[in-house]
Formats: sequence, C-alpha cells, structure tokens
Amino acid sequence: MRAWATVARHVGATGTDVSFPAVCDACVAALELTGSWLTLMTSPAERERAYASDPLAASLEESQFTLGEGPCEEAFASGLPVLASDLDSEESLQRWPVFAPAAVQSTARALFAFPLRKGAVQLGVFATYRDSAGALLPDQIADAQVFADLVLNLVLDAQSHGSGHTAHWLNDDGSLGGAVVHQATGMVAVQLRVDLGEALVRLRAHAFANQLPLAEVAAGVVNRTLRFSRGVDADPL
Amino acid sequence: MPADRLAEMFVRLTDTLVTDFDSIDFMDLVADSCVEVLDVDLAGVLLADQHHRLRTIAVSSERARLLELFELQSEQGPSVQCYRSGAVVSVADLNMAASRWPRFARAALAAGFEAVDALPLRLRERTIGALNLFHVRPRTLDLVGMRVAQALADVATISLLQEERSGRNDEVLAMRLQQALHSRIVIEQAKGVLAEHLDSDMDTAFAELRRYARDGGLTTSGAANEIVSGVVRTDWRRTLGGGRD
Repeated sequence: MRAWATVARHVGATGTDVSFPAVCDACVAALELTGSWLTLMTSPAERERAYASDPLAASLEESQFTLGEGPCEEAFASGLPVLASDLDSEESLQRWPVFAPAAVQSTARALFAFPLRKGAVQLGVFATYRDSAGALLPDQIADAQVFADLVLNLVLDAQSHGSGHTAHWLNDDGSLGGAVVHQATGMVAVQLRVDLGEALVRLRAHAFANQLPLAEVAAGVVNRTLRFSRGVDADPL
Repeated sequence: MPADRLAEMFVRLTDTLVTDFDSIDFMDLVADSCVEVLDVDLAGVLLADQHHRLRTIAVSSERARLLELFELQSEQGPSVQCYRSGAVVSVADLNMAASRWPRFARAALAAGFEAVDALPLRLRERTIGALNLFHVRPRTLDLVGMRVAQALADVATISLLQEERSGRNDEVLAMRLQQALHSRIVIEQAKGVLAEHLDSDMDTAFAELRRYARDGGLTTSGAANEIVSGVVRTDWRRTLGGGRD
C-alpha cells in the first residue's frame, strides 16, 4: 500500500512518532498538495482543530465553521468525501457562495475533504488544499481515503489509550473492518448507554489493555462471553 | 431458464433503478435475483474498500453462518482471485480447492456447498468487486447462466454510477463505493444495537431490522440509520413491539 509506505518513510525521515501531523504531512507530500488540517467533531457545533499545517489551512478551517458552509461542512453532513477541484468554478461558487470566493481570494484553489467515518461513527473531517486547481486522479482519491483511514485509526487510538501506541493497528491484518466489530460496537453502545463512537473506543481500549486482537474482543461481545458495564471496563462472564 | 422469469427479473431491477434507489437494497435484489433465476443456492455482492479488501455488501441469505463465507474472502478465496484478476473464477468441486484456499474451502464445505463461481464487477478496465455464487451440488454455471450472471454483475456495477447530476465518473464511483460500504457497516451496527436490546442473536436482529424497515416503508439502510441514531434513548422493546420478554 503506497500510503502506508509514505507514512513509514516520512516518520522514519523526520524521526517523529506516527501522529496526526505526520500522517497529514505525508498525505500532502504524496499527493502534491499545499496543506492540510484535521477537525475532530461530534456535531457541526462541537469541534476542535487537532492539526493545521500552516496559517492558511487554519483559516480555511475556521472560516467554514464561521460561515457554516464549505466542503468540510458538507463532508461531515453527508459522511462522504467532497472533492472541490476548482473553488473558482461556476459550480463551486454556486455551491458555496460565501466561502468559495473567500478561499480563492486567500489563494486556495482546490479543497478535498474526507470524513473520518466508520458507518454511523463519525469523528471529524480530514481536509487538504492546493494553491492550484485540478482534480485528483482515481489513484490519488483512493490514496487520500487510505490516509483518512489512518487518521481515523489514530484518533480512535488516542481516545482509547493515549497517543504513541500505534503498533498494533499498523500491523493489523485487516480484520479491523469485519462485520463482527461493527455488531459488537452496536451491542456495547447499548450496554454502556453511549454513542457508537464511544463504544468503538471502549472496545479498542479493552483490546489494547488486554493485548488481544480487536476482532477477538468483538467476537467475545457478540458471543456474549464478554460484556461491558458502566464503571468497569468489561466483565468477562 | 424460462424467458418470462428472466424478463420479469430485469423489469424489476430496472424499475428499482429508476424509482426509489438505494444501493444496498438494489444489491440485495441482485443477490436474490441470482438465486431465483440462475438456480444457485446462495449469492452475494462484494465491493472493494480503499485498502483493496473485499467487503460484503448484500447476501441472499443473511444467516450469520453464511455471511461468514463472504467475510472470509476479504483475504482469500475465489472472490479475491476474481477481483485481483478481473476474470471469472469457477470451482466445480471445492474438495479440490482445499490446498488453494484452506480456510475458505473448509468453511464452504462445512456449510454444505460443493461449488462456487465468482464474477467480476467491472467498469471498463477497473474491477470494483465480485458477484459470488454458491452451489450445493458440484456444478458451475453453464454458458447461458454465466452470461445472465455477468449481466447481473454489470447491472450492479452500473447502479453505482446512476443519477449523478454532474461530476467525473471516477469521483462519482468513489463516492458511491464509500456510501455503499458505510451503509453496510451501519446495518451491522444496527444489528448489534437490536441484538442487545432484544437479547437475540444477529439473525433475529436482522429479521427485526427488515421488519422495522418494511413496517415503516423504509429502506434497510434507512431503518438502520434510525436505529443507530436512537441508540442512547430509545426503548426498542417497546418501539419494535417485539423481542423476548
């Protein structure tokens, strides 16, 4: 996978931990973009900027929130990527009448926003911009989505056991997305009376604390040999 | 394969395409059509995610044990081979495939299937997934059956591109794939929510989800969305009027 290799190379070269900035910067480098940012959000109103590569990235993030319009707002609302390859086009100006001209004025010409999402779990938006217009190629769209997935995993990890412990998902064999994990997420949400995002974080925290594969923990929940209860992390039955 | 059944099937598929379209329900219809018209015993539609791993989108039977046969193929099996090569893979006797795909062949045989076909979901030079057909008896599709199956696979692919106002095909396809993959995840999450509320297994939870969709005139995805968004507050025992008390 090219995206993984890029992150690994980037982390190796800069000597940093695998972190939001590292993944965001690696994506910008791989896709020849200008900058990127990361907004963690649980609703359009509750949000926090976790990273911005430069002042313009920060202001693009800020102004979409202030105006309540823009590719990032749309990506979060729809749960789907929004690829604005030319903010100065007729289509963009109609779609975002206030944001698009302001962005162009500030020298951003293309903006690509990717929701951080697993089904009904939505944790924010990963966005990138370029100072020139132009669409992403199909391979670049796919790569950007892989980067967004990396960011999502980092966010989940940071919430479940703090940053700096990323080895277990970097080596994940792909079982991560299996149906059983999604089913267990739904079950744990009910057991703990929390939303699905929180439930997924708790599942991962349990897997991490017990050094177990996530799929195994999820299977335990679905088979009802493992149950989460409020206060305690998990009760083996 | 009687011509009137075939005609009826394509009328139903195209009707669904031009009216109330939902990608998961449409893929479900494709899977069900395979079982009805092609005389296969189990059918499923798989789409590749951004990591090029196959994800199960729709299956003609949602029984957990059968779902597993498709899930197993995120890593190995005829669908993976079909997806990677872009060509049809047919195995008339799974007993002969034990060394090729040990886990998959064992699971399929244990579930009572002797043979399997996998056809590519192809869009020009790209392969985006596979249509996977299982047979209880050792056989594969004949020539006519194979052509109808490929037509169904093509309809499934094309459905992902339809009714888009503007935009480039690559982008539309990327969006639709994401949408279908996430919709399927929401369905699994909703099954978990229901299973916990009803103290049931996943098969019962899915039947309940379907019933909830039917009663409310919703798509399966729409019902799943409602269920997961009400996860914190709603008392499903009462709302659904079902479950085991």
